[in-house]
Amino acid sequence: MAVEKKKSGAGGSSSSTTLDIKSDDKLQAVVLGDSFDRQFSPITLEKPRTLLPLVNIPLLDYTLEFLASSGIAEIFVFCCAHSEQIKEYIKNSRWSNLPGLSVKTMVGKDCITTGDALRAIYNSHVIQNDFVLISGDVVSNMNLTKALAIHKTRREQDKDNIMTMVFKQASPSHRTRSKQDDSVVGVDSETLQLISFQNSLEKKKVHLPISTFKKHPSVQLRYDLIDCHIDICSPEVLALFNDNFDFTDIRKDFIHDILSSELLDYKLSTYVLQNEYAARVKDLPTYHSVSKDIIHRWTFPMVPDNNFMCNTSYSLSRQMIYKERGVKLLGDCFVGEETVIGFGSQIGESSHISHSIIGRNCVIGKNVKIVGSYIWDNCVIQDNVTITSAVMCCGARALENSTIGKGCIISFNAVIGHDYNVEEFTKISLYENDDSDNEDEDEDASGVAIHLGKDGVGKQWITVDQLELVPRSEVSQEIESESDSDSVCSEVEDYDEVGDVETDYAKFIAEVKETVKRGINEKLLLENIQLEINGLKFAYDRGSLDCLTAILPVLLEVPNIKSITLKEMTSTIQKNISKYAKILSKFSSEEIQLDFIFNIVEFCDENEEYKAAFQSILHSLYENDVISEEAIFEWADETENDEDEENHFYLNKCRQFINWLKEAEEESEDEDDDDEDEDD
Amino acid sequence: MTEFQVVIIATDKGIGNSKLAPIDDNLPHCLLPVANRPLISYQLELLEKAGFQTKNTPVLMLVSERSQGKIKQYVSEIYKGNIEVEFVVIKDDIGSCEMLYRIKDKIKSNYFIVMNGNLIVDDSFIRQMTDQHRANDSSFTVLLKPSTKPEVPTKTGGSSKQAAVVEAPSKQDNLFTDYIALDEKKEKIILMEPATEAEDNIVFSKTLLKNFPNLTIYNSLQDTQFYIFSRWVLEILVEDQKKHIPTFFDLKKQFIPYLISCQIPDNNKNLPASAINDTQELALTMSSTSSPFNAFSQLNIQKKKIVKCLAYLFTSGYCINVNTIKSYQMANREIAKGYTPYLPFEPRSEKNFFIDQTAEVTPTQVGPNCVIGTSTKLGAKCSVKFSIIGKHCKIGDGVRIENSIIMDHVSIEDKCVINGSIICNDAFVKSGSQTIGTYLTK
Repeated sequence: MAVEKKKSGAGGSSSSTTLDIKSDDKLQAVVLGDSFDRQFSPITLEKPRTLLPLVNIPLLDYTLEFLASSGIAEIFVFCCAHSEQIKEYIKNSRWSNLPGLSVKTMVGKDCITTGDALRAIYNSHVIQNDFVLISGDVVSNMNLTKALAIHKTRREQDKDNIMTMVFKQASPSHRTRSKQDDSVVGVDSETLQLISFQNSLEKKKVHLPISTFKKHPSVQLRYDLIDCHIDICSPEVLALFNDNFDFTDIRKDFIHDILSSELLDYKLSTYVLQNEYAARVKDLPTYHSVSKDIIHRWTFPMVPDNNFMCNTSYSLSRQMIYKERGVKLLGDCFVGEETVIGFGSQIGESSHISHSIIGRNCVIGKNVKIVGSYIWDNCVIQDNVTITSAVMCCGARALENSTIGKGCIISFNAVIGHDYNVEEFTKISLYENDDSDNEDEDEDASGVAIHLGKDGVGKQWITVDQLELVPRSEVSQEIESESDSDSVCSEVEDYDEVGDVETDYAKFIAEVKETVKRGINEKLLLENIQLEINGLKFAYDRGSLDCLTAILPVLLEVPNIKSITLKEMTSTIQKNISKYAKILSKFSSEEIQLDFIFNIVEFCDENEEYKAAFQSILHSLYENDVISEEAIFEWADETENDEDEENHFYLNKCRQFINWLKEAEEESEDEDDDDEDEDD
Repeated sequence: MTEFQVVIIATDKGIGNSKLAPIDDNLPHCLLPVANRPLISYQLELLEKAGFQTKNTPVLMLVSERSQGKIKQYVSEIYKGNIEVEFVVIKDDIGSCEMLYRIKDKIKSNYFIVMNGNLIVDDSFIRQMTDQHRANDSSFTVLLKPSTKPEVPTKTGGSSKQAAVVEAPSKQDNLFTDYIALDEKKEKIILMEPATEAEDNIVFSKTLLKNFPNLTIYNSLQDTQFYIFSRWVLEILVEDQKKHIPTFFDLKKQFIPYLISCQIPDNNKNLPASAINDTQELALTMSSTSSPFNAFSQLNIQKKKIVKCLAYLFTSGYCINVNTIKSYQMANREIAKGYTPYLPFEPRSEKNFFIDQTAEVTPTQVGPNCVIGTSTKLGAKCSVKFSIIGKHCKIGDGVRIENSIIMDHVSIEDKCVINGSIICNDAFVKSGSQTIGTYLTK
């Protein structure tokens, strides 16, 4: 259906292409000022991603500077969320009064996807020519003119070449490659036409249909390309988006549709950068690596000491240390390599700073240690604070003796209290969700009240599906081991898909276990543990049963299991279960209880020690309302009918308990109400 | 060329699948006449030209029980070259991997070549290819050639009917065009999916892509079934054959893909100890700059060898695998034209045809690019164009033969018209019959 619609679109756009010829060769660019994702939450709840400072200069400036230096004459910055801030910023920056360049903002308040944005641009009729479509968070020094010229010749040869995508060659494990980016690009090795574009982390295999070879005798399959999100598009692209209102994303929908459609002859081409720099700040890890690249001058001429925005005064000294004028270094403080310090910042005595970026007007006290961190403007860091690999947004404060662990984000104006130790990967924000009835918001991110020490202000944000600034160590190890075990031998190929699900599952189990353990150790509120597990459940797309199965082993953990008596063991288990049953009961529902019992059996099978305690596990789960008696009976029946004698082991184990249940039920048939009270 | 022992697979089934029925029904595949020469003679000539020393390492020719007699007879009685051949009789149902396993003790050299008995190829590449194999310390090198484009039928003989014959359905052709992935330098072969095995998709795992992030998949290259192996790969086969049910049956379908997949490092596969490369160590001990006290040099020695599979692209020259009727016709036609390095045994005349002296032919009856064998008799008012006629044939009066292959001992009665056909040994064509585009067997 979608394809038919497009056909009319192609017809409609042909009239606009005839217009091209008349209009002059003014180069246009569209900058998407919104990323339509939540990788930077909770920071982006208060400030758009494009205005986040990257080495103390807003991201948008890098993109605009790149476009301006490539000879683009007209730039439209399309903004959705926080559009006022972007408008305000551009109005007050040098972009508003540069000769030969006009930067205009467009606002699409209702746009929630890239597709919506492109449709809005189409309907505004401002684009007549081929234009550059770029994300507002791209840092690049590539020669766009060359790519534009190539696109133009391709267009002249074949009108159907509607888009040229820019890729950068970089090894699969390159630092500027986002962890979410796992694209495999198929290109006709002669015409450089894009044939296949697959970007799916879950899939461990890439499929190339044999039918492709009919048209393209040789296909280059490349895993060493990074999508720069710089596209040179023809106006048809917008028209196609307008005609297909279900397109939400350029990569996922538009490209996929064009490549798989047999009716349309539209072609997409590629342009591969080899020595030039281009990277998109897509998430926290890429924020980290692009910052490093700028410090290491890969992005030349866009480096701090070039002061290209004309409002900075950086100078470079040895060991990649950039300092603006007016930086106050007091006493014996130490500034190590790869460090940037903005105007008016002050660093106290005996403080140690390295591999970090400090914004303007920050006040850093005595004996502070900052390593690998991003401290934005106007932050206050009091004496004896340690900050490792964290982000502190503008106006955030860390009070005396506090510690901020790696991967933390301290959002705008949040305050970390005295002596408080912020756990690794914690996100603190002051943001209040005004429209609490907005359901999407709640699903992805939510604020939880947290105690932040004396004078601390802020809420903890639990985000799912977000990448951290620095990798969590255990996760990265897992990925490595995964790739080791991944075999390409054809014989095992068929099992591989199963294996993927399995490792994913194992990861999920591990994370749930970790969460529960941490929760118990830190004596968090049970509700909060529940909430976190729920988050994981959505993140990994798992059912409640999986949650139950993952949580239970943690509760069953008994110290010195091999040396204690059965009696001690059962009592500990019973104590644990009754204490934390609330977490379990949240996920327990009638339908899954039977399966859950089978899973417990399986668990006991795998862990000999628990075999003896099976009855007491079942019993305590029953007493705490996790499992209903119906489920237990059902399980007993099913096991009874099982031919396999081995399975009767467990049934015999808890025969006593079941009989007791049955008797209780028979008794209670007369006095129903009583029974329910008993359960509580 | 003493380091390379040659194995020619000349069994009826051969490596891969030939689609030559019905013309190979009564004749072993490798004895099919191509321009009146048995196919096998081209391979022996190739080895001779390339200068293979076969005194101590004879060419191992694998033959089927059924056809061994005829082939042995040809090599021992008719063949006059100086290539020593040792025959190994192989049962019909044995896969090519087991064949190699059986002859493993007969392979004495460090490297060995496995070639299919259906290959006709210029000798010019062999030296370069063997050098490439040795220099890179490769485990396996395959000769690839660009797949042949459908040939435009020659104008002169070109009636429309003939064109229909020549342009055989390309589907069959595709069977021999594999999906081959090479790395960016076009050196290493990363994936070889036999067209016969390929399903709807070609699948690449991301681990493979991580190791070879820039690869190109060709559907325009053909595997010529000319392989160079290093000797140690036999040990993989030996290990495998010890299993109750061996994993490898066919060289091309299982073993070579396996070997290629071994190229990915950390691929926990058990490679034999002899896979470990010690040439570097040897070189260091022989080097004048290294001293026994130089511990650092010891560190640099790469103990762990990874399997290396290379591709050699055949760029110029003549190369054809006679495995379909179409390719059989093509080989006949092109060799009869006389511009390949291989010529028919019959003497060449000025008008570019080849007629044996004992044949009873008036030269005016024969057009260019024809071959006529010993003792063949042509009747009056015959005309032969672009065709090959074998030995001891009797052809009646007024017969017209165009674009056809006629094998030995064929009798054709008067006034027949034979166009675009293949007439096999001992066949008999009745007078006045017309055969167009057919394959006649006895």
